[in-house]
Amino acid sequence: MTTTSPLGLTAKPRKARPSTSTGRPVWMGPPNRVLTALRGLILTIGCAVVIVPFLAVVSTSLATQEEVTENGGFVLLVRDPTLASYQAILSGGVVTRALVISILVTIAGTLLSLACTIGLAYALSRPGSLGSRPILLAVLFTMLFSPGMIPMYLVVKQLGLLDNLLALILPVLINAFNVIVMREFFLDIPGELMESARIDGANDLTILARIVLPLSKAVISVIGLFYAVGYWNAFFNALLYISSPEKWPLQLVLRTYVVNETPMGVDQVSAGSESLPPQLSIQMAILVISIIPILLVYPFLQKHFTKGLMIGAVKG
Amino acid sequence: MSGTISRRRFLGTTGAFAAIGLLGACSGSPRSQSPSGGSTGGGGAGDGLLPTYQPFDTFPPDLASSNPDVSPGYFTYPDPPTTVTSGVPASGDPIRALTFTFDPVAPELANNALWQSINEALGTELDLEYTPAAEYAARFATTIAGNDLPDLVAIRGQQQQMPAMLAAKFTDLTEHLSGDAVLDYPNLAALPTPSWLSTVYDGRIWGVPVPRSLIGSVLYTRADILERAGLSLQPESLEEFTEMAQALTNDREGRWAFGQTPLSVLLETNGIANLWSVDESGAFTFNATLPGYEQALADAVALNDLGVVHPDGNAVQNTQRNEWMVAGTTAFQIGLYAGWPKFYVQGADIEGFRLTGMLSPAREAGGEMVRTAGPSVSHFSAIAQQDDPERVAEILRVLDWLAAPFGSTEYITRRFGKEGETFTFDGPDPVLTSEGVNQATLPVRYITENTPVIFESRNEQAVRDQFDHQEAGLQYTVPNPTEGLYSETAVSEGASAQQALTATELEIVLGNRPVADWAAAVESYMSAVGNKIKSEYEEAWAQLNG
Amino acid sequence: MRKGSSSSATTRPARRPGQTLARWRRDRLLLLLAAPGLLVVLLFHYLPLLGNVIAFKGYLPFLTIAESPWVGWDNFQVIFSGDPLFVNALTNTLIITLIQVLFVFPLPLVLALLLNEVISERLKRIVQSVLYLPHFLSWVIVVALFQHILGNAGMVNTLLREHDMTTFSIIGVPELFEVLITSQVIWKDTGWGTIIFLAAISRVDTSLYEAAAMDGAGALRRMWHVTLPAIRSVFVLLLILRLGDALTVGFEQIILQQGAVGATASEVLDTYVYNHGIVGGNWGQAAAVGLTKGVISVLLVLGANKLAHKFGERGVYHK
Repeated sequence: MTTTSPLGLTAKPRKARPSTSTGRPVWMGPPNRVLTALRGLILTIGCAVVIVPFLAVVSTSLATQEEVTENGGFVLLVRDPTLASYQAILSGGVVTRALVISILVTIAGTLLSLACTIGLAYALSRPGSLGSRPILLAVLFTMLFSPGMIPMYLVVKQLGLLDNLLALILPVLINAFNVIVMREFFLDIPGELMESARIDGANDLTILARIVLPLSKAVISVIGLFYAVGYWNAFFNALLYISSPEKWPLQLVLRTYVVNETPMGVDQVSAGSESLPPQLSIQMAILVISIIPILLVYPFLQKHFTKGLMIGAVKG
Repeated sequence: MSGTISRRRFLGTTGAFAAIGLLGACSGSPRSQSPSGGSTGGGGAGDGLLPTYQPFDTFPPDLASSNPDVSPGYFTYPDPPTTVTSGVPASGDPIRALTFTFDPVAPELANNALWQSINEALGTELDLEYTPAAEYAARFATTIAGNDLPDLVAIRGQQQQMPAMLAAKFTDLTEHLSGDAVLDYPNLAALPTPSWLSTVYDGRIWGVPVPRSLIGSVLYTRADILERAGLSLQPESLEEFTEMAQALTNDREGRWAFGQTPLSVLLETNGIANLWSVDESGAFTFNATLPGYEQALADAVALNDLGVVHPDGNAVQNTQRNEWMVAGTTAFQIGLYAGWPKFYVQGADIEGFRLTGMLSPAREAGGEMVRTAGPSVSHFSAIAQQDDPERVAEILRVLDWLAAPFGSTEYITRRFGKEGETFTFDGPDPVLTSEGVNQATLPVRYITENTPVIFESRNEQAVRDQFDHQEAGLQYTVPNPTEGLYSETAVSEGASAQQALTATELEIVLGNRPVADWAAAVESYMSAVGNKIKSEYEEAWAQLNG
Repeated sequence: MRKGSSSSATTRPARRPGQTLARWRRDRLLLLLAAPGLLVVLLFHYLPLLGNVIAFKGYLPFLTIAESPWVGWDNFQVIFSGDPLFVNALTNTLIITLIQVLFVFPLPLVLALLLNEVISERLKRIVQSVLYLPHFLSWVIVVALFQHILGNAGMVNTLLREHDMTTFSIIGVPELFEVLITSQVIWKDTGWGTIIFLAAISRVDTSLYEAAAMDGAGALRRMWHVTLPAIRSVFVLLLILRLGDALTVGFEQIILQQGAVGATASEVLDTYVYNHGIVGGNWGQAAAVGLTKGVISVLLVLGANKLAHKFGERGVYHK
């Protein structure tokens, strides 16, 4: 529906918007210098405040025991980087397989969650539809009352989902917050668009597919990201429901590297073998490994919500 | 968002205040260790019920003590290793076990030669399920609630209505293990007597322990730093200890004596060992009511005021304090004895790195020294309710194999796997290959294991330092009288009352509240739960000691 | 834009008796779409929610729920006993919630507006990608990083000390505990929070900006008259939902840092319940507290929603 011009502008396929050579739309007028400077300052400080600690995280993951010891902990700038921590974690194949499982669960879970959430949010967003108010309240209340750990386990067990990867998806398939936010965005889609479609003979399904979904790329990306991050970071359900460690997702496997004070089963290692990477480096390497895949997804989704959407494009 | 749910779940699973004194460490909460042990030779507790103790004399150690609580020290692996079991312990049905681990996940059976060789030796498949130790309580609770127990379940700490829970879900092993019956399982008979006490509830034996040394908590000392500063490795009085701390501190250079206020040391200095004590007649005392406890709090505040504790010491996790000591930022660190070997790995690259244990000095030079007893077990493994005595015997034979002593070939198979594949011999010492290091994280040792020994391959000094600390320290160890006793109040309302007391203790040590507030807090603890716990312990003690 | 939703409401007549069948026929596709999600909600929320009956029982995992003895309101004792420690925890919770609703909650919106004014699309995305990173760190790591950088012996203070400058203390000072945890929350989640507002802003029809510009509106007025109205409803909705969580403030974050300042300054409701009941394995009490918090949350959400209606906002649901 929309394309991105080389200048980073949003443009309708039909007519390109006029713009100045700086990439600023003509209507914006010349920028206010003071405001721009202030904005730049705030954002620069904000980025610095984030980047410095992250630099420490990455540097430390590449540090030797010697450097960690020298710094008494985190290393801000690593002198002679080594991949030893990463090798230690990735050797043995356990982490790699867990990575595959996590990716599968995240993709399947996010798609299923999105499908169910869109269906529910759409039905709840159509004004006056049958039962929409009690259903909305029922969904809302799931946010406010949480079932206990043991009853939840018993339900999963009764359904025969123990030690099955579906147990990582189905119990968290619907998140009330996400349903309510998505419904909110659906509500703001101009009603006259749907009415005219209805007059043309479209049913609710067609309206969803032809009008609502194309206009909701932003919110679908955001909610998709929320779900994906939720699936990606989850470890507790796996801990309870998945008894075979070879089916564990990445976060649970990585947790076994950091929850305790003894890294890598260290007292199993006898003299003569090489010294192990420092525990702090291993922890940081784990952090990096667990963040990178989800970071890779981000740019693909981000373009949908940092860019102005042309409702006009649908209106015609 | 999804945070809401996980946060609430988190409630049931993760730790609270950092315990710096005795209170947290010895609470009866489900997360804490089982009660700690008395002396191996100590008293007649549980006479006739506990398994007969029959240690091996096949593997003479390089360092031996006349004190039976001191672990034997070995400079090399006994050569040649001996096979101590005969035949194959199991046949047929796989054995499912649930436990926890402090190590990373091990590769699955198909890719784990070490696990395969264990199964081969056992004659059946050991189907091992486990969780990270920090989350075990949640897995345990749901497994119990789901009523689908594996054959072996690790029982960690005490739970509410423990005797009823054990009777409802697990097998009474008394007839298989009590007295001389245990001699059918010679490796189990070699497990130290105090460790068995933690498996006893209602006068019956419910499992097989994972034994630990009674040395307990250690004041780890960077001997090389102290020697460079010309300081003694063992101060004789609190005064000398304090001066030593000041000499080791230079905050401009970023060096401090301690990573955290050493309250547990100051308690021992003031004559307080363990949370409870008992006299000849069986009368129990809650040690927080003693004047020495309050004096220790005052000493702690004074030490803080001297600035010898790292200024962020109370704000960090224990891993950070470990790093500090290894880095020389601090000279001391307090931690469990089981963590000793890992410091050698962390300190491997440090010139002259030497670690010793320091005893808590008496308050005045020449005064009486005491030491809190460490937990005699990590936990124990119970057998799920099982009517077939032959199956129980089979599972016990497997446990017996898993408890084979240091020096046996079974021990080598269990810890090191298959020669040439997961380990090689370096002289007499088995050494894991790089593949072996990954596979050896399989937590079979958290089902049950042999009596602890001291062994550091090719590091005689390290073996000596650990042995010397045990030899010097265990003579002062006061047996924990609550060992093998169960108080329902202590594990239910008592746990929260104790948490409130710990919170007050922390506020006093941090200097937020005056030391004078302590007496009132202890008094309200006693009237709320303490007196009830006291009489429950006294009753249980009388029962156990006839 | 917003008028659209209200105008379409007229096309679906309000309920009249006897029309249920007709409405069923009309809405069956919608119900079909909602069905899978509803089934999940029933199976995995409401079915296990029945287990909350243990709030009135002395439940232990080795008993079945049916076997456990009834104990009446005993498990609610912890809430209604008037224990001064509980009152302290409740007070701390409400103070922290107030601070966070006032100072933390609006920040993502401000940041989103700032980002929206960045002209270069690439720069905007890079900045946003950087700012959302901390969300992925666990609290253990965030707390450790803060300590390492801002601690009394942290990087900044060490630098100050080396140059003979005055050092500062923020970690381990009970009076500053709220400041500390609030700044941690800001650092960790502000960037992440912008995502939803950016999505809302992205729906603004650019032609509205053009129209405003033609009327001579400057950047600030365009933001006020075009951008803000478009995201107001989302903002109000999130605020209402945040109020529903008023009694829940960062359990993990706080329990990790209690050791440095003590309980008086740092105990909140969730840590109190943990330290004074759950450590003893009291499942019924955990359920009782959960239920009570749920009821209060419902009241808060419904109340906030009513208030929103008074201000002419849509809220979570229609009047």
